[in-house]
Amino acid sequence: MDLVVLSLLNGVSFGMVLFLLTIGLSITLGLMGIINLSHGALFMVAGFAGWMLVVQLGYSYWLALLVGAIIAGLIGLAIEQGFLSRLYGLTNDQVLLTIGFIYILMNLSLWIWGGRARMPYHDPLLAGTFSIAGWQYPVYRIFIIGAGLILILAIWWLLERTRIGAIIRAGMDDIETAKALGKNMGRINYLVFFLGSFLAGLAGVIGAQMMGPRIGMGWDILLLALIVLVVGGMGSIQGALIGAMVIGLVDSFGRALLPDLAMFFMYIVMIIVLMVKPSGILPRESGG
Amino acid sequence: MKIAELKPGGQPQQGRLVRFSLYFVIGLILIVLPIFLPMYLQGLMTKILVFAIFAMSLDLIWGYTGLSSMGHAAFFGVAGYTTAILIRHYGVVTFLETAPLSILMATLFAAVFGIISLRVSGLYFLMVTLALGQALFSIAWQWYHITGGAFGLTIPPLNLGIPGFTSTAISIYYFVFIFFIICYFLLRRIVNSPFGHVLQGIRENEPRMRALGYNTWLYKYIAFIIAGFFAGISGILFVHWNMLISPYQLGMIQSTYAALCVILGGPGTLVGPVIGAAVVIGLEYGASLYNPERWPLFLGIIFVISVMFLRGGVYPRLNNLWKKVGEKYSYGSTKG
Amino acid sequence: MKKALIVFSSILFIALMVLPFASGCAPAAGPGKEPVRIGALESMTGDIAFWGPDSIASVNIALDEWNHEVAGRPIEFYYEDDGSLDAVMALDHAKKLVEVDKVDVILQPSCSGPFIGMRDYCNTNGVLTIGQGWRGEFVPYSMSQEIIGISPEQRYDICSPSSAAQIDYAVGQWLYKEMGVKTVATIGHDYETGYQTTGSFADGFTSAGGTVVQQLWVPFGTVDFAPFLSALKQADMTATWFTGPMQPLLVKQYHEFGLDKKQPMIQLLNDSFYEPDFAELGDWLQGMYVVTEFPSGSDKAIITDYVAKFLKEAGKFPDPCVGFGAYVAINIYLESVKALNGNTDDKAVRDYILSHSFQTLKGTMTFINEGYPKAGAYVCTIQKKDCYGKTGVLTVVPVKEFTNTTHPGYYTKP
Repeated sequence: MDLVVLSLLNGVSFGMVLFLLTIGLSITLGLMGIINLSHGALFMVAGFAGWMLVVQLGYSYWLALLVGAIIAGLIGLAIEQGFLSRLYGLTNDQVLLTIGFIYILMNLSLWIWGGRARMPYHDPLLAGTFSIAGWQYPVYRIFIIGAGLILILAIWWLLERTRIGAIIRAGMDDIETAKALGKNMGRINYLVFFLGSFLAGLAGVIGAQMMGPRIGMGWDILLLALIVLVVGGMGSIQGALIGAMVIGLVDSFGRALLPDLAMFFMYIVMIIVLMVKPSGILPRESGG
Repeated sequence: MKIAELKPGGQPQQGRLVRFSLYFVIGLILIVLPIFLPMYLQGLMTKILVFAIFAMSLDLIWGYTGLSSMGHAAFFGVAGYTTAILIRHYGVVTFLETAPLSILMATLFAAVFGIISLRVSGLYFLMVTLALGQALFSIAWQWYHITGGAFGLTIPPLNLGIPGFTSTAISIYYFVFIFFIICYFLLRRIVNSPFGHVLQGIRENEPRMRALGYNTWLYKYIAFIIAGFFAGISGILFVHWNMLISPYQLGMIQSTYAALCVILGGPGTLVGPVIGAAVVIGLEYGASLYNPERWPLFLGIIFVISVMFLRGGVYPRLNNLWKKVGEKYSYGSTKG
Repeated sequence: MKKALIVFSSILFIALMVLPFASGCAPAAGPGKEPVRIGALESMTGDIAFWGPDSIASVNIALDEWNHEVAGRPIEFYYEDDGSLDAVMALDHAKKLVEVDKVDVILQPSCSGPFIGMRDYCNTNGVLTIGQGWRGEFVPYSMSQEIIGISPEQRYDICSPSSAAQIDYAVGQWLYKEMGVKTVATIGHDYETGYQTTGSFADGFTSAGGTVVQQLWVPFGTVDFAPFLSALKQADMTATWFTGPMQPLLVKQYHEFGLDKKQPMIQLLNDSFYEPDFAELGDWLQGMYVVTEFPSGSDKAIITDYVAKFLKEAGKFPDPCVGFGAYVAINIYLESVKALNGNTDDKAVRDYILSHSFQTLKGTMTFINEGYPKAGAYVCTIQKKDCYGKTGVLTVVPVKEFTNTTHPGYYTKP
């Protein structure tokens, strides 16, 4: 029973991090049809930047959270503005380009921070443990779940309750209509891409409490994000959320029960979803 | 050298002469030159041909059918591993015994993965193929007793079962070269056939093809399997050339490598990926030569530059360039 | 026709790009003697990418000491990436080192995968290779020996230092016999080297009379040890072994779970858990046991001198595996070449190494043609020490020294 509660909490907290990472990818994919494979590298860079600020330089974790997310947002924006915006609709080129950026970002990070995987870090405020079901469970994990819930609400509110959100959603449903609404789509692209990358960075620093930053993440976490998208469905908060939770729980229960095969459960889930409901569990239903 | 002699109203003499001298030079480079090269370069040219086949096989689905698969290395690696496993664990030694089974395995995996991946299209398809390839990577990594895990599997030099044949850098080169020529012509026949034209139609506008009555899923599926077949061929050639295979040959790193050859060279041209393979491999060596630590950085920068400035790939650009040169030296209309 | 033209031009282009490298890339020897070319495969990218720079710093220290020349011949150093765990990349780059750079010797990649990838090629081509650190595997060598048909005489790979198994086996025995530890639980990394370390330890412990109450195996890529720590059984001590960054992570979580006081931990033969990690983790580490070949906190002058030099060269403590191992390997090679009056013929040097003993940072070392030489290591505890011009440095201080351990055999997953 203890193991179930533990795995549940682990799965949900991991799922929160995956959600934050994936929702950004989902929006940029859904809105602009832009595939940015370096999204995972942004997660990684933010994690390292945070590590440098908190562990090496002694700054506050909360500052690192903001800085890491902003750095990721800016890099993502730079990639979009400088390069991806000229490749609208050219999938091949976007893929090649953003893979190039994965190599670049990974190697630059290696240069700056060295090849050593770093240890997880968190704010001293969140040190210590809760007593749950007879076990000591780290506070920062609870924080991840809590912060995740707040951010879910914030993102939902942004997309469902603000004008900007309405335009983004309209754009995702039908880009012609969105243009007809009169807003400058260029500026929206700006904002959306920054937001998506910002969320990846946020996920990176939040996730760094669980997973120490590691250069290899550039590829590994991207793979997870893609599996989440396939399972959950693209273009919707619900999709990203359910996909992230499913993968997070499958991963943690898998590791608890059969550590050897934990990785494969994820793939099996993905294959099942593909055969049963290829568009994912809760994708965005496109309008018109 | 005056090579133009225009016959009014007909195919210029120059066309035939240039064509002949061209094939002659290419033949020289591919067939004769390797004999004089140091062993290392022979190996390099062999590697280029192996990956050229691999890239061409991907081009069939990526360039001609419009299926952006990022998991193509799965079939490449499966074939290579099958050969290695047969040799190491089952004592099957000669090429004629290991090759058919290996290619069969690759094709089978393509058949299974095709069913799964083709449930979706576009970016989803990309993601799914990526994940499936990576799944194989994990399996190979974990399944130490069969696949050698992270160590991979080494095999002895190629045994053709022909007395008097020894595997040397140059003999392996010609061995691979023969397969390259065969594969190229086979693939060329396929893409120029009605089947190939349907594939290109699907790439351009799948709903229209469906409206015209084609079972587009079936065409895509068959193309996927054929591509897997040829990837399998390149896989066995790889393992015989390298005498070592590792899990990395199954996963996304190797798949993106192939995709890069296709995109860089020029998708949908068959020749483009061949050039792409040569360029990528050449760049790889160049980059690591200059700096063993920063090579991924240089590689990444080159990809970015080539996307921004070589839209469509190297081959179409060269083609355009050559067209302009051709026009300069022709009188009136020259099609050659 | 145009297509053919394109193909032609591209191939020409490639040829032009590549031919310069073809013409025996080794730089022409200037006036004076032909240089000695030392090659190395280093982890410059990938999961273990921190080892590369450490190893190179280590080599540089050695080369500086030798004044970049041996027996009147200048020394050139070439290194290439092995991608950390990528056997195919290692082989690729080994070929480049041998065929293009024309090196006389190659320092082996630190990880087993890449090593096995290039070992057969080097042996078949008579290229001498020397290990930079201890190895976990043994049987895969024999397997490939059967396949390629290489006899011990045809082996050109010098397995530097020892196998992990021989050290950890001895540690297992010592814990029971001399430290009064009766029961032990193990947490090991679920792959070959994990089995060599943890498995041999368990074997040594039980053969001395102790009881292993549990053996947990943790797969690659685990970021969270909580499920395993929750399942950990009661015992006098916990023996652990993980490669690279997983070890400090485990130790950290172990402490967070409050286990380090209840059930002390001993880390088996050290891979890369060292001073920078200690500093980051904190003072509570004191008292933890670590098995290592090169204790930076030792009092032996030969070690402290080296560490001081390394601190100066690289600004950090040397990694306990390749940070010292590369220095040892280079010195063995150069001493042999010197003794042979500058002869770098692979066979001659190999035969010399196999028939002589060397004074190194690890004490006296001898090598044998097949298997692993007798070797030693230390069991240490992490303590605060004033050394190297700093105060209160958390470092490993020896409490027990082993010498002349013998390789007990190959371990698979129980």
